[in-house]
Amino acid sequence: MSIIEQYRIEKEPYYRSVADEVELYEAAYSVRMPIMLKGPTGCGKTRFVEYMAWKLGKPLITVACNEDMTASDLVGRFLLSASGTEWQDGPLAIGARHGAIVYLDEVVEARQDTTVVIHPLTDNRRVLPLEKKGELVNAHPDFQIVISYNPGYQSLMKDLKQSTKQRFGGLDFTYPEHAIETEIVAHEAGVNAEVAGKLVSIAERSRNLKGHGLDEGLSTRMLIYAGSLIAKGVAPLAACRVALVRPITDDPDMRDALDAAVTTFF
Amino acid sequence: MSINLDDYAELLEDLSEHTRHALEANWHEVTKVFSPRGLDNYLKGVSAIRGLGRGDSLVETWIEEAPRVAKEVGEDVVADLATACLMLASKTSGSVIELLLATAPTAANRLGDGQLFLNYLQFVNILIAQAPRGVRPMLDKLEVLFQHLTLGGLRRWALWGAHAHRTDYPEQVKYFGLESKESLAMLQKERKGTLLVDVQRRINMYLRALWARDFFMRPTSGDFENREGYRPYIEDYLLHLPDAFDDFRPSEEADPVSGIELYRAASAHCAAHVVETKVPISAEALSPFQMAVISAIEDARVETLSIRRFPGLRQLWSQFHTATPAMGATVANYLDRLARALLDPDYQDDDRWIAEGRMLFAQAQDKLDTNQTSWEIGVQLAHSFGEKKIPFNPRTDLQTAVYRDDNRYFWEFEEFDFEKAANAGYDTVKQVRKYVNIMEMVNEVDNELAGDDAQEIWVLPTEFHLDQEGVTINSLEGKEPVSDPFHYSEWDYQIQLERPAWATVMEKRGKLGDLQMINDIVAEHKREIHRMKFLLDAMQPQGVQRIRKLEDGDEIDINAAIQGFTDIRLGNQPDPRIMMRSVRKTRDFSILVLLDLSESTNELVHGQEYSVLDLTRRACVLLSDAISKVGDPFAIHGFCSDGRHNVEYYRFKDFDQHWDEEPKSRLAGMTGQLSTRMGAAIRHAGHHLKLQRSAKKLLIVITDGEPADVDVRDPQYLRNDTKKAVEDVAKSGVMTYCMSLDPRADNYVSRIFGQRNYMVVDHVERLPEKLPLLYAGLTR
Repeated sequence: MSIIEQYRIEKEPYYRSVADEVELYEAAYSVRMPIMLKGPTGCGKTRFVEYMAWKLGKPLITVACNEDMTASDLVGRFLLSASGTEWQDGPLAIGARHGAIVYLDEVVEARQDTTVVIHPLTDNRRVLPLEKKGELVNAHPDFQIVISYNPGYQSLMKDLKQSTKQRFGGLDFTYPEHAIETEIVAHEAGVNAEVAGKLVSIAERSRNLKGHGLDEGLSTRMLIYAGSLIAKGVAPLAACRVALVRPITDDPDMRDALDAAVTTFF
Repeated sequence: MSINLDDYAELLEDLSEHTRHALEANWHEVTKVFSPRGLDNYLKGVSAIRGLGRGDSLVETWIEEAPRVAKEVGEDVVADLATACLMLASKTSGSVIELLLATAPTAANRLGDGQLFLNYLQFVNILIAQAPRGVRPMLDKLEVLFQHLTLGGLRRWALWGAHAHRTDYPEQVKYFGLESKESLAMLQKERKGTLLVDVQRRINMYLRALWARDFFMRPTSGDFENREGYRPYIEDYLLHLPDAFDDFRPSEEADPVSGIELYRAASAHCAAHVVETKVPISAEALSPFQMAVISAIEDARVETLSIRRFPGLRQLWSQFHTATPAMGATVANYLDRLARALLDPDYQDDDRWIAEGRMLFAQAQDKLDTNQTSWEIGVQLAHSFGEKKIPFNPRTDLQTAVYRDDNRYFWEFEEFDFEKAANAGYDTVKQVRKYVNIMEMVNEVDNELAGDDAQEIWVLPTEFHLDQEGVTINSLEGKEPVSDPFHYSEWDYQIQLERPAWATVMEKRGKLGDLQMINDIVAEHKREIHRMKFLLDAMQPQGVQRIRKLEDGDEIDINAAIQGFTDIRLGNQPDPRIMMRSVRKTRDFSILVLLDLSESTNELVHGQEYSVLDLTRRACVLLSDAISKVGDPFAIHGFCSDGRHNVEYYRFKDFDQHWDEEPKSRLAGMTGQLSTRMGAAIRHAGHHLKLQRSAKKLLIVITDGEPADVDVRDPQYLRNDTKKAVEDVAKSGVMTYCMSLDPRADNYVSRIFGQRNYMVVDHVERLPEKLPLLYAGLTR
């Protein structure tokens, strides 16, 4: 059982619930319903899964998906060893055997023919066939799949198949409202509520520009970075430039507009 | 529309041999640039300048440069340019006129506007009277000067020099040649400030970031001479801002505030008005002085409300307030001090009136959301100002803070429609279709053939039979199936705004032609087709490919595994890369070929018996043949235009159509006519490509000239619009590539389509072979 122990979350992660998402997730977990989390980058999807895994006392296996990922990367493969070949479980197989929450981050980045391997695990069969090994893994009763993706910036080409989509319950995530986001930034970055409030106001300005030159607004995560710099004694303007404006765009006009928006608060 | 030079024989008789050669060499380009009327003016210019008797080289300079000027700012200025030369002839030498002509394209390019160019000519005319020796060195440095100066700046710089060195000719030459110290100092002083066109996009984003809505901005031109008369204003829901702002110096020793800061302050102030002023203030029963005070209070009110949301705006605005308690001579001084006191809490002012204003405004803090408050405070303050006994002059006693608008916005508007304000700039005129009886029709209708811009169209509810043809009007109109109109916006670079629903694209079905023509082409080009076969075979999708020698593939590569075990048994280090992976190789392209079918395509290719259109047709046949072999979905469309209301768009082959007899005979029936409004056609082609599911979408535009249309005189307009159209379709993932058959095209084509996305086919005859190769290269 030692292999799964490393995936346990020891310390309570900070998570500020925004609405009833914690209760909904618990209810979904109690019937082992697969869940998909949708929302823009840096709004707290991953943190939410960590928090829920901790709260439910289950190990959490996170897989960051990418275009080159194949089914073997999820399921497992034979490797060469001194005595011959040896099967190595992939993250999905480990999770299914030991009863973990498997979290596929940015699942649309993976090719559609890769994502279909999760199908047998996400309906009432709850099995994972390991074709190459000739084994059928029955999922552990605690096992659950969570996927996340950002519907905003992906192109139309990258979308989930209907047959994949319809196996999941969905939770929508957005940036929290002003007061809550201020609380989160203040807690995570260690700045006072006033500075946090200003940072959130700046982010709201940038979210107005989404689709008008920006692909995405400033995320809560970026605000926390900027706040941490300010807490370390960096001047607010410099911190915002480094942590907010410079990373998000290369367009000089957009930078200028955002810099100006920053100066209306600091 | 080719015009023969020989038609003008009598006009050209006087020209010397050499000049005539020069004209013949330029003739091809000249006919492309000028309309028949412009051509007439151009040739009249040739004979007029010839008539000056200042030598051949002056005439030849005219022959070469006038078309370039027309290309930059439109052909209308050419006649004026000729007149200017004739006027100068009595005042200066031929070589100066020649220099003026030689630098005219530079000036036209820098000024970019016909009217400004005429002002420039006028200015040169004045200068030659005042500083006759200075003109030549100045024209030599014109490029540098225009880099740093607006026309107004150039005029002030030059006239200063002319006055300073009126009689000292050597100094004059030095000054205008940018060699003397004061010349450079003056240049520094007149350097143009920040131009709105340069920062408009930033300001737009800035306002959008703050208020989460769009504001439309337009440049207004101030007085070039003294830079006065600039004042922002809001009208028709548009923010009108000066076309240039100089850096602002609050005082002599203070650091200047940059022009863009000033633009930000002005636009934010105007936006604050638009956002916070929700009902008009009635000017009824108010004296001009009361209105002035109410204006100041209302400015403070909208600014205070905006500062509550965006605290940094206080800093932005207050740096432009420079009033001090020491100023107290005029009403304007007091208004400035009041404005500063209400904005800037750190400002000290002991005046009783100012203090009263501050107090009243502070008391009203919780009812600032209505402008009734401004009215009440304003009237009260205006009353108590009476004890100062300073007369008020409504024309001169204005607030001096440069960023503030003239407040006509809330005084003048009646029945403000916010729905309309939010849609400002998006309006389209609706056309009303009205059914009327026959007598109304007979009595009232004076225009039988109304276009798209008609506001009302009257139709009869019953059929109207034409006697002689024995048919009804309706069936006559049904002659050619026309699609519903597609409306596309067009980019106006002068106002930096889109003109919404400006161009109308109609899809028409092309005529069917003789299929034999296409078969002949295929037979004729058998060799090329055969040669391309190998190339195309290589491009066909290979299906599944195995990638071997991987450490983390999907499957074990059994050969590599056995080798690995052999190595282990032998005691060697085994190669751990024993896995392999299967990768599916697929092609995922959609290609649309957009053909320019304008009148000029009917011209014969130089030294050949076939026209450009024939050549384009051949190229399309070969390309279609090639693409259908590879199997990518492709379409062939064409366009021509007759003004913005009628951009005709032909679909010869659609994506889902097979390359068989029907598209082939449509291609055979294609004809060239009218003009080239490229932007609208590119947008429409983009619309078709967007409907395709492929990951990569390629639009190949084949044209023999630059964008032009009968209703557009400014050559830059359609160029800029086409550039914008290319950028627009790029946003939806369509890559545009241009194949230009105009050998002189490099310059504008690269500006429109981007550095890498064009190809100029210099030997037009080779187009049929080049097009398929281009396709192969782009989609490899």
